[in-house]
Amino acid sequence: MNLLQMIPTSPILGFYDPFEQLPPAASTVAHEMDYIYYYTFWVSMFFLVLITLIMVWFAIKYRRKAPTDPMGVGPTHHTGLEVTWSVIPFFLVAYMFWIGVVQYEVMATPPGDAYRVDVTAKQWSWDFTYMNGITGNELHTYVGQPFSLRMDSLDVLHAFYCPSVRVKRDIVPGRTEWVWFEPIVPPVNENEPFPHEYYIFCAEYCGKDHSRMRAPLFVHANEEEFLKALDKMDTIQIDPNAPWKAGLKMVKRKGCLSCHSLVGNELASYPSWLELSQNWGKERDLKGGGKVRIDKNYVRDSILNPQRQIAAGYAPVMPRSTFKDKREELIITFLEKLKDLQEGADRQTLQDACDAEGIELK
Amino acid sequence: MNTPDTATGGAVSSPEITEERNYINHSQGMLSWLLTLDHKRIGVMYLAAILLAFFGGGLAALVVRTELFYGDGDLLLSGDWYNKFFTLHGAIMVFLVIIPGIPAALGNVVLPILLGAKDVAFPRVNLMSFYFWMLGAACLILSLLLGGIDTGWTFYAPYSIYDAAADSHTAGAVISALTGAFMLGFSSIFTGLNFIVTIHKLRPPGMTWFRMPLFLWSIYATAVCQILATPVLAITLLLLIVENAVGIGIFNPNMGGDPVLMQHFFWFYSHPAVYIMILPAMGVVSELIAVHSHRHIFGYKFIAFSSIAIAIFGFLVWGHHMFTSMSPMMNVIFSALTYSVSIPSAVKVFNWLATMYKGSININTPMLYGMGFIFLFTIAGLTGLPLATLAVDIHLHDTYFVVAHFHYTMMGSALIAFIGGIHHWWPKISGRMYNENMGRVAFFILFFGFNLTFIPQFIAGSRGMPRRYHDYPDIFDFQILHQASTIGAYTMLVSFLMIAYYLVMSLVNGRKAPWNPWGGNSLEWHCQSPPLHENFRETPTVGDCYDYSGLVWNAEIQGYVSKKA
Repeated sequence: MNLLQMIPTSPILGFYDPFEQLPPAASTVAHEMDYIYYYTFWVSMFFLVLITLIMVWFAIKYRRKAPTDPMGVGPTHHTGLEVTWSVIPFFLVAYMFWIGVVQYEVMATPPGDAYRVDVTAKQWSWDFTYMNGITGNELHTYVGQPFSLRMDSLDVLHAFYCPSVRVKRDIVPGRTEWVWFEPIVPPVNENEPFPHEYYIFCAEYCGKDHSRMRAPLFVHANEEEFLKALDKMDTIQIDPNAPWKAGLKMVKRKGCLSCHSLVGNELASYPSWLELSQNWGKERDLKGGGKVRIDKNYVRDSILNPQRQIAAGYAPVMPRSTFKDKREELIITFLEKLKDLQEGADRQTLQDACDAEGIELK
Repeated sequence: MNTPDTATGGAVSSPEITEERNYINHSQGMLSWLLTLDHKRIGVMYLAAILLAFFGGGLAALVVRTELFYGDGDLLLSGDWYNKFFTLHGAIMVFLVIIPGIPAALGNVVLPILLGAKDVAFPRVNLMSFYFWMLGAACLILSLLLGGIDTGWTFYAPYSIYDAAADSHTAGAVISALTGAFMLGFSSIFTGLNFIVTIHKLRPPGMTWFRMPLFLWSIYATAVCQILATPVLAITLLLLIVENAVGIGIFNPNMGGDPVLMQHFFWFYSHPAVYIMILPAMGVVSELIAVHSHRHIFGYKFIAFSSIAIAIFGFLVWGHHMFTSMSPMMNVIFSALTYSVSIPSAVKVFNWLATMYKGSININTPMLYGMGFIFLFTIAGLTGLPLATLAVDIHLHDTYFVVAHFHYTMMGSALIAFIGGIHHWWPKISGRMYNENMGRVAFFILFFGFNLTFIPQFIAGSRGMPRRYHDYPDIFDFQILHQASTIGAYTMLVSFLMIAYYLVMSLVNGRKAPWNPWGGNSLEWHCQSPPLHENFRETPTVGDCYDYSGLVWNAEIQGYVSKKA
């Protein structure tokens, strides 16, 4: 028997909500969770209004009009009353506890047929790796299929949070954490074309750009659309006239710009790519002495083995990345070309390409 | 000198022979204050220092709220500076203001008087407690000079463990801030220890446990929390200091350590700390409601024992801070335990309401704070229910709903009671009356501003706005809600400036306070305002401190006096 069926979903304490307190429910577990929320909300509202009205009523009715008024005289205790108002809240919260636990058990137990996505959280971006080997920083799902996320952190604490599907789990470095959900179409989105897009947030404080550690969750209509979207996310079209555009796409996909900057920025804590591009072929100082020439080999090494050569003046914070089909070369091409793009007549082309990718040119 | 009238609970009450000497003019000079062993003077120094810290913490909050007026971009601060400011706000408000607020400032001034004692049990330890507070504050300032920290006041590992990788804070700044919190912990332990011994050993004849004002019960319960929980914080902070200094790897996952262990240690203190903040506030409110309703407190024993119950249950619920990182079984256990705190809290609210029934309620500034507390604390408690409910907490955890909930607890409840207590005991502490009308107006501005600040945060939070966000997308009206909240914060600033103004003005040209301006019957209203250096001329006699029938208004001195036998 499903324990969930034991929760009476009373229409009296149902979903009436003048304040639209919860985002549209886009997963199977959201509906029951919302019911429990509104149960606690209306019980709370009842007591808040009751207590406030009684307090204001007493304050008016028993108001002291002059300091010479006689002192108040009332009962100093009433055991029956006091036991009553201890016991009634006890039963109300016991019920709350019970429905909360029953629903939590459902949320904590992924179904066996869930599609698995490996999630890697790092300061400050998300990587999603699908069962067919495709990796990207968008989470694609489709209606009617449970998805379970197997999550790891590369550095500090993070938390996977998607308000619309009502899941959250801290990702502790050194541990593997799981969440699952099955997307549905919330009533307000019934007439919206697919895919539906929602926000994924990092909910556990993780440093400077914690608030920008976001990713989109796409809900597609069916498996076919889902696979198509994965392919689209994975494919890179290389324009032979401007191969750097594919590089820019990779830059966006790998989340490089959550730290690096495409324009010179003296205050930044991370090497500016424009500066690198401007100094192409010249030597730069390394931390702990030594020099290195800025060229393809150096940049490739910095992407694939970021801890090996640390530029002087910077901290060794860059995470490792892996690429399929040697796609890091696309990024290197872009980086080498960046100076010309920024300063030459191609400036507008770069601006357009950035706009197309949704990159803020800064 | 009058004969003490035990039948009416009156102790030594003879306003006609107020003396010129009092604890303020007892001795002169800066050193006589800095080296004083008088609990009242230590309390006043605490009060001044805490209010100064509150001003600083409040400014940090305003900076944070201003930055959040727009979702995108840097209005005042970049991301890492935003993080430093909310850390600063949290650390100052928790460690420097709210934890010591009521016990160390108000408690120090009135506890021995309420008890009928000349001083606390260990006056030197009391002064040392104050200087540990100063040292702790100095360490936090040093941490700022070393570049500040952006770890959040919770110091969660591994982010708070220095790593050459993290350029956002230095090991020195973190160690200095941790040392500051460590010192403040000791200050808190000394105060708690002192109060427990004082209440056990220095009660005068007749002051039985059940004749103590409820403020003392709540301070006692607080002190138990302080001396049992704070050492765990000290251990945690010490381990983090060592971790930062030499890298022992207890909390560092790169060395096989467990970051969640640190969270357990931290909340084993910091959840009871919530009750260290709220229990004294409940005690203050029991006094405010009873005295200004001029009516015997309802259900004395239920209120007293609910304080003890909250102190005990408060130790068993820390796990609810980790509902999104613990195993399901642990979550279920901690969810059940968390609800246990709700019952004694509800009992208190109902008892305060029943105290107003058939009272003779003087709606003056302290009473307004008492009633404001009941309203705000009710919201604070009720919004704890969805957070204790496992399935719902998964959605609400680490969102603005939690931010709003604990601000209703810490600010709406603890701080409102603190300010109410300052108004209630101001005539006793300073010997002056403040401007009553300005007091009422400031209360309503504060009350309005507070709700304007935090009700939108509940809605933003339940719609999914995560906390500690420097930038946020403008979905679900997040930006409008944040803007309302920011305007509310500035409204509160206006009220606080007003309060500061009329309290300072009362010292300049306030009417001299009578012994008993409100008609209270606990012992502090039976000594002069401000009290003598030794509090009472002779050991007072104790009756039922909530029996007001023996008091009568005297228009000549604008205060209450004992009826002539």
